[in-house]
Amino acid sequence: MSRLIIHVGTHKTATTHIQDSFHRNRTLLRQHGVIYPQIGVAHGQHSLATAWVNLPAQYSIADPRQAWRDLAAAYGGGDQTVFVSSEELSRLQPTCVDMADLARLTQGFDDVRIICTLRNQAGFVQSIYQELSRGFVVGPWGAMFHRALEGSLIAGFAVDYNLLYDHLLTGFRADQIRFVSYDAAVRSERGILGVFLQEIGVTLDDDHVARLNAGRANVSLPPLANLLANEMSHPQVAQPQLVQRLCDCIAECLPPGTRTTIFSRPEMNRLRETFVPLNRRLLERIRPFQPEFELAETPENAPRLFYRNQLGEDFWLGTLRHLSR
Amino acid sequence: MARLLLHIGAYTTAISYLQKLFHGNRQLLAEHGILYPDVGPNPAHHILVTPWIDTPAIGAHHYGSRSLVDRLLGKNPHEAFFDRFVRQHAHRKGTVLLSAEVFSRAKPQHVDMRDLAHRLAPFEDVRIVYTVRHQADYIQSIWLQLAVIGKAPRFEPFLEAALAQHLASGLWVDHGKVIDHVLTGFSPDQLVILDHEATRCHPDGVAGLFLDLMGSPLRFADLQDLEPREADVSPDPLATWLAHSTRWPSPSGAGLVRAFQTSLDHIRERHGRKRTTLYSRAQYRQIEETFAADNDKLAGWLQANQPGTTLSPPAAPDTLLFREDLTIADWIGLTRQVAMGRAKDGD
Repeated sequence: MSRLIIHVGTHKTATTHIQDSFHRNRTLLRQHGVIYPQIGVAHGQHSLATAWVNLPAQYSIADPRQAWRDLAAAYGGGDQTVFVSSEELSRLQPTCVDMADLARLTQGFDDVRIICTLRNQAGFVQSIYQELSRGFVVGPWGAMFHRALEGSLIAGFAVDYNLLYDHLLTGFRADQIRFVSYDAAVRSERGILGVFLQEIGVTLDDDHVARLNAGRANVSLPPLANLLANEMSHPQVAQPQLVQRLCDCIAECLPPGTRTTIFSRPEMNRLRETFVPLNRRLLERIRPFQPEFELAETPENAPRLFYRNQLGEDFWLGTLRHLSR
Repeated sequence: MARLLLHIGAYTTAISYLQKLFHGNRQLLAEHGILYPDVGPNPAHHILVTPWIDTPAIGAHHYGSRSLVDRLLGKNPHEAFFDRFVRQHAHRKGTVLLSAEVFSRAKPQHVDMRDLAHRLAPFEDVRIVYTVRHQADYIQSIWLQLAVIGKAPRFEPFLEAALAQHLASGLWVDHGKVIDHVLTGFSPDQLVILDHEATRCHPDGVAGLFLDLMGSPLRFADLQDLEPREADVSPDPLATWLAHSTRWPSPSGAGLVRAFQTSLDHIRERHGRKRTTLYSRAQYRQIEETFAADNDKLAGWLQANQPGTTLSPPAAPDTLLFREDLTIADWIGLTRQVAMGRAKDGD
């Protein structure tokens, strides 16, 4: 039986880590019956998304819809699993995948599955903010947070995952869509890569998986220092030196190893109040098909995080002194 | 014989403004029977405090030479100068107006009021004018003045010492102590207490009030006012405190104060345009509580000796922007000034 597994993201759920690992281990995957095709120049198959989603020129290929047809033609009649991955497939705005069209393009496979990793909304929103602020002016945080709450979207991606599920259902059946909990996967013994290998039917021993898991991509800047640097620098891009100096100032005020968050505690509470009911609705919809799936309500370490509103006068005066040297 | 009006302070009650104003208009004042002598190196009369308070900044050449009689009497140059000054001015017609806030200083040295009264006896009539202001404003202003000249210590220990000792930078902040000290040489009917807030409300301002005190027909409008840059406008308290906290023990720099002030102008718009203060709410309450008894005593003295004059209370807390009212967004705006290198000293 031929299978196509389409990994649609979401963003900031270790998708780059999965894509980089699978790219480096194509031969190993093939030995286990999984095809991870090279399409375009990137490690992920973002070029396939360009059939519907506007992406930078480096992801362009001549005919992305034909590329989908070519995959079906090449592998649809066999008994291998084709795994393609691009978080851009879960984008909702300004352009999005025509899921019905995608379903038609991939009907040459015996079985088509969508796999989508979801994380708690606080982690998701923070990670998106961190990503957007790399070398770009992101705009005031307050406005972005307000838009994420009110519009349930951030940077064109769903924060209310019901919206994403609705979109996927425009092309695929509910029993074709499978969710992975990012929070549970990263805490699991074999890590998120181990969870994905299991999802696609690749059995590797623990040592092998551990080696694949090593070297996570995209290490983020310390969130709170990054936010403060961006807010101080707006409308210019925050310089890395400023982020580092703010990191040093924050570190002086906190016990070693304390993790920060961009949110204030009231913002975290508002996120919970807004999205916990929406997540529960999503779980009710998914339960008939995936009864074991759970979605974390808040980051697991939320009670131990250092929140933005905890920054006191001593911190600010210390920062003023530090920055004026 | 001349009448004498001796203005002894307090510090930070527009006294510098008055000194510059009257000095600049001394010709006009003299034409209207008010003599504002031009003595010593400044527009005020600090040189006259020197028999009791060492003032090395005033060079020896200002005192002139002592007469043989002064030498034989054992007078030092400061005493000789003072007595010569009295001899030259006490016989004249009109009012002699003198102003030097140093007369109200407590430490490290203070004026011997008995000696002062004795030396001023040749004047027909001597009145001492002292302006009071509530300690919340007074202590803050003293610290701000020190910050402007680069001599302010950290604010918290300064305030703690003021609350414990009722002294700030050698000045009594319990005005009753100033009054008690003046009364060691003068009688209550020679003392005129003004309230700083009330003087600001006089239709002709503080200068007009002084002209009224001297019974002058001149009005403030008759005088040439100071240029804005001469007027010693008080710096924004919070901007000054922030600059001081940022750079202490190095000097703050006028550029940094200005940068914070610009930021605070925007911040105040978000806080109902309240005036800033460098206190926390707890400190503000503590000041009121600490000086409540002393101020009640002052009120009693004023009631008995100068009915109609009261010490104005400090600004209501809900009219002030306290340090703890600053939000994260406010602090980010303030820090941006330094982070983006917008504060340029020497501008």
